[in-house]
Amino acid sequence: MHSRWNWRHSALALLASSGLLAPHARAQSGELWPESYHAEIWTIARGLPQGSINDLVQTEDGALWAATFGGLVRFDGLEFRVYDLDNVPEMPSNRVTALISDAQGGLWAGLQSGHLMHFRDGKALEVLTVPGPDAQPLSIVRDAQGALWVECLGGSVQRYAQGAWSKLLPSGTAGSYEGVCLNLDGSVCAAAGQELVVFEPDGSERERMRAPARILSLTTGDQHGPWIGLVDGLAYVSDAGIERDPLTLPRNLGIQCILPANGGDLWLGSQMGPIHVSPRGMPARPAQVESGEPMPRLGVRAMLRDREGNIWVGSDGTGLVRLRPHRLLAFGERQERSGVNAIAEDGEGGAWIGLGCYGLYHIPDGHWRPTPASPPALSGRVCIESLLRDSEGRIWLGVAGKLMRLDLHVSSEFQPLPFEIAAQGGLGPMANGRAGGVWISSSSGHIVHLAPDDRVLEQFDLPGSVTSLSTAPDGTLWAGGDGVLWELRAGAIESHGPGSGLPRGVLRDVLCDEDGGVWVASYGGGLGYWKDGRGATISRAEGLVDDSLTAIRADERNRLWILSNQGLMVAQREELLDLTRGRIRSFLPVVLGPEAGMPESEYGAPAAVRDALGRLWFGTITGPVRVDPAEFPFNKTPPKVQLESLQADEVELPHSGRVEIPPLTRRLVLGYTAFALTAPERTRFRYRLDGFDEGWVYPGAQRWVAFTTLAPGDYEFHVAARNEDGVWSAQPARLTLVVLPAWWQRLSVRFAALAAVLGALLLAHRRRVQVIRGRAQVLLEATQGRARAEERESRLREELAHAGRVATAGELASSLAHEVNQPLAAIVTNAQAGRRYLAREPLMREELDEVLGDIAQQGQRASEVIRRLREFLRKHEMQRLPVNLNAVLRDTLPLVRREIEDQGVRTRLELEEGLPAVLADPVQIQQVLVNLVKNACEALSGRPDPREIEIRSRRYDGRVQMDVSDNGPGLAPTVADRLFQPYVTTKTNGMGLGLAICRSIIEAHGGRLGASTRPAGGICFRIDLPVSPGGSR
Amino acid sequence: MNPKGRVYLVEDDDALRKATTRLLASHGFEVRAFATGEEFLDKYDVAHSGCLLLDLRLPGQSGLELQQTLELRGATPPIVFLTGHADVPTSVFAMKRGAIDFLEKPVREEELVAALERALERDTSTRKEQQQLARVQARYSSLTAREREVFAEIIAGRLNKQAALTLGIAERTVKLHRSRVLEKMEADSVADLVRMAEALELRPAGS
Repeated sequence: MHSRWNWRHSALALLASSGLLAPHARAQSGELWPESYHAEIWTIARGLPQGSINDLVQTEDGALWAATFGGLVRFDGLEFRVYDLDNVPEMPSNRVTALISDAQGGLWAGLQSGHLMHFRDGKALEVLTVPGPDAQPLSIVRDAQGALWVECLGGSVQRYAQGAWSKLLPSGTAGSYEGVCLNLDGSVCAAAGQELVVFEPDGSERERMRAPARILSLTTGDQHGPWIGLVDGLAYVSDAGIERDPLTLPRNLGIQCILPANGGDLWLGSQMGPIHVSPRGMPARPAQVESGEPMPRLGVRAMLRDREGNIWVGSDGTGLVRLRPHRLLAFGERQERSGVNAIAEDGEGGAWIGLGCYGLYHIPDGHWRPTPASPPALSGRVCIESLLRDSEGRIWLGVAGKLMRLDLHVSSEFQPLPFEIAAQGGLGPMANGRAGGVWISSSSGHIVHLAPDDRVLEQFDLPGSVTSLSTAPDGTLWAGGDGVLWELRAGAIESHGPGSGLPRGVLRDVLCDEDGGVWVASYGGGLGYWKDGRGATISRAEGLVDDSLTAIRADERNRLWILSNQGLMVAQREELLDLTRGRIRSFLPVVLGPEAGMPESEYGAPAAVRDALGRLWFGTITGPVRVDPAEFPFNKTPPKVQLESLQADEVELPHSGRVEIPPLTRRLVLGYTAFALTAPERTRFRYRLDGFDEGWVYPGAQRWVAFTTLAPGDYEFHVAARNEDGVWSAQPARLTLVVLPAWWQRLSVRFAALAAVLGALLLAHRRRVQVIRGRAQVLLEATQGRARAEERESRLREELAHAGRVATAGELASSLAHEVNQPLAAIVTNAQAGRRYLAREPLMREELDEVLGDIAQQGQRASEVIRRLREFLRKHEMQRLPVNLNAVLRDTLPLVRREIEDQGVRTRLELEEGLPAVLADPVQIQQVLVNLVKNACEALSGRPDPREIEIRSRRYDGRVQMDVSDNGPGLAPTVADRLFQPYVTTKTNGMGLGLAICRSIIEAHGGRLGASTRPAGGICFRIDLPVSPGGSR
Repeated sequence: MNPKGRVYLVEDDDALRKATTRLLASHGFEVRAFATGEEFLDKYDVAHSGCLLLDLRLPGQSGLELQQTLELRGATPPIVFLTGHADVPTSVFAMKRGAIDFLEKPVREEELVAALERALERDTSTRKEQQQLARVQARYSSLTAREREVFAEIIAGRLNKQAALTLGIAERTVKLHRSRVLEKMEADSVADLVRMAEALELRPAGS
């Protein structure tokens, strides 16, 4: 019974995948890549409900689905989502046996209970009962007309079309059908013992063919018919009938499932694991699979090739396996621990590889030349230092301080050259010069320019050792050293370093850009760019995955390939240039890391080279790696992105179409995912909330985003995903959010009546500030005369100042309510006491009198608060009165008394007596002081004791200064520059206008308002006003 | 008029403090008024019964902090909180920590008086319990070591014979000790003794 499951379900998986086959890029390039794959296994420990997978299918939306006996499982490459009896009530059973896509983003699932379930968007759309006994589905095929053909346990094939079932039973000797399959011509075939039966789309039998052995599995093949797995081999259909494939396979393999791959090759699934073969006469080549952990022996139940080219294996008890083709060609280590320390191209698409002290090798045609190419002089243990192929095709080799050269026109051996370049130490990098010459450097800093005929053209001595060399098209030689870039031109040397913007660290590679600039790869300091006398640095802060760089090379498509210890980065050259010009702040390079087959880099001279076919070679600690930029992006399949959830204050809402968000929602969380199955951990997202965000926001790999307190209105959310090679989704997922307006009135109930009025004023004036800003624009444009403009400007400033006061008062509302409530409470309590006195005999006349006096006094006190507030809020033309700043401060403190007390803040006043008067509007100055004190209180909120505000005034050189300082956290550097700009705020409830208005007020008084960080921490705001002309006493 | 009990009032607003003092005095409370929590702590006499009428918002130590300080000192009089604006979380917090009530200013006279009376009642009953406990503790401390052992045997429900075996003394001696214990503890019955043991949080022998 168990073995029957295996092969039947495997056959079905192949059908599922057959529609997804696309010619792979490498098949077109005409070269076979080594069969190297990286395997990753997901077991129940990683979230699978069961270790055995009966079937696999990829739906239209890109999701991978697995059929298990523990439910239907969706996989996005990172997480499993299980659909079972718990969350799909209509589901008749958890035991899913077969799957087929419905071509509309959903699927049909066969259940062991004898049902077919149509499933889409997390819901069962329809559940069909397969009629008859023994009707448990084993596999399903969906034909072009949408009819479902279900292979059942009882040996029948049941066809479901237009709402009706029909049962097909084999005639003749064979007792039962086993396996169904869709042919390219639209017909369906099934196996019956040793016979292959082909049906017309209507279910009638078209023809019958005899196979050389019993048939175990069927898979869509070519126009003649299916691939046929036999008990003892592979067969296919030709004009002559069923033919056995000459492929040599292990004995008793028993092909349970067949998966056509890309270039006519096949994957065969058996109890011996997946095998990669080239059928029809080509020898079988087992796939090289490397895995982080030991590969278990896999019994294959189902296989699938996803649209990105990964092979998925549903195993018999071992879980789900992904075989990912390596994107890079890694040649591996020639000898143990032999890293690559120099590479030169050979002019024909191959490369010379220097393995340090392990010799020189040649890889002419994609394979290591079996014996080392080392010249006899290298037979001892000497070390290679640098390599170069010059413009005449000669190979230059630096070895143990000596130069050797291979010139095939002269000899097939390396010949020693008689130059003494390195007096002591070794040779450094070499570079091709202009007009066929060669530049050769030594580790001591000596550089020689040799002509094609070996004459010495120029010589230089640099003050340090040279780590990289490159010649610009204009003939300038650029040399990299430790923290320095030398420019050698017309006999002169200029050096550039971190002082002029270049990165720190050893410059391991130099690349001359066609625009006359120079790129440098530094080890530890990131990427540098030098042009027109100015340097720039791009580091991790801007998006590099690593600052330790070893090589940089350009491809023919305007991309730069940057080798680091964390992988090979691919970046658009334009994007990097924009970074150096400050046009953008960061970028997101594509990274080919270990998962793509890229080992850790190794320093060489040079560490990278571009070969004659445009391919790039890099040196790594485990051998050379070659990559073909023409193939990049390797994964051209744009990921499909999907919204998964929407929560408003932890309440789940629908997440499609147009969704209404309840009023006063504080936190909105949107979850999304993408189906990029090759390297889902490298999938990156971007989202945009139209109506809130101005452009795309890049949250990295995070698969959710939260918005807090969105203002009422309509928003549209877009989210897109980028696969590991930088290909963005063709279609962002979208969702319209309608945030319903909040019923602000409800809030006001919580406040006293006064606060309600203030709140309303505040709202009105917030709008007004906007109107005023708009009006100011219009007015300023329309007004011709400067005088008129100034007059209007001053009026606008007054209005703005007023609006600011209203806003401030609004923020003070709760404290002011308390200020009024206190005397009111005293009045009420006194009145209650008074009534009790009245009830007494004898009448306590004296006490009563005192009580009434107190009531009157407290009434005065309440009205005083209101008066002060009204005064503060009064709209008036700016006055110019001689006022004493100390007096204004004393009038102001009661307004903010509560703010101060609530924070438990101590105030220290150091006011200079006899200050001269300033000509000012007392209300506006009060406004500034309120703001400064309030800000100080807020800055101190939650700070450890002692919390202090210090206010000092003094006379200073014909001016009066008042400092308001706190010992809070001080200024964040990001805010410091913009402190006085409008709408800049660090507070959650402020408009960000306070300080902007304060500055405009003080400046309108001919004064200055500044802020500075105190040495002991905290901020000091300084008001500086000129003394009134007649005011200096 | 016979004072109803002592109310400690902590209120920083002079006018309101004066008015409240006046009102409470007219209701027959003995009012001790303070402007800050620190002043109150300075003058508070734990031995004297009373309750605390406390403004939530105070300069220096806030009302809630004062409540905590008192708790730490293990001398918390029942507290009635007064506040300018009651926010629910604060009031819940205060109530959870044993406040009697949480009243919003201006407070209705009857409400205030009722709350204070409740607080004083609570104080009286707490003190009574404490006094009783103190008396039982005093009696218990008068027992000898052997008598305490016998005490533990009795409340464990052991027969004299069993107790004698455990303690290694004659049954007759146990009997003697037993009557001494009942007498010294001023207990009428064994049930009485068990209740006292519970109040003293004693554990019966062998458990």
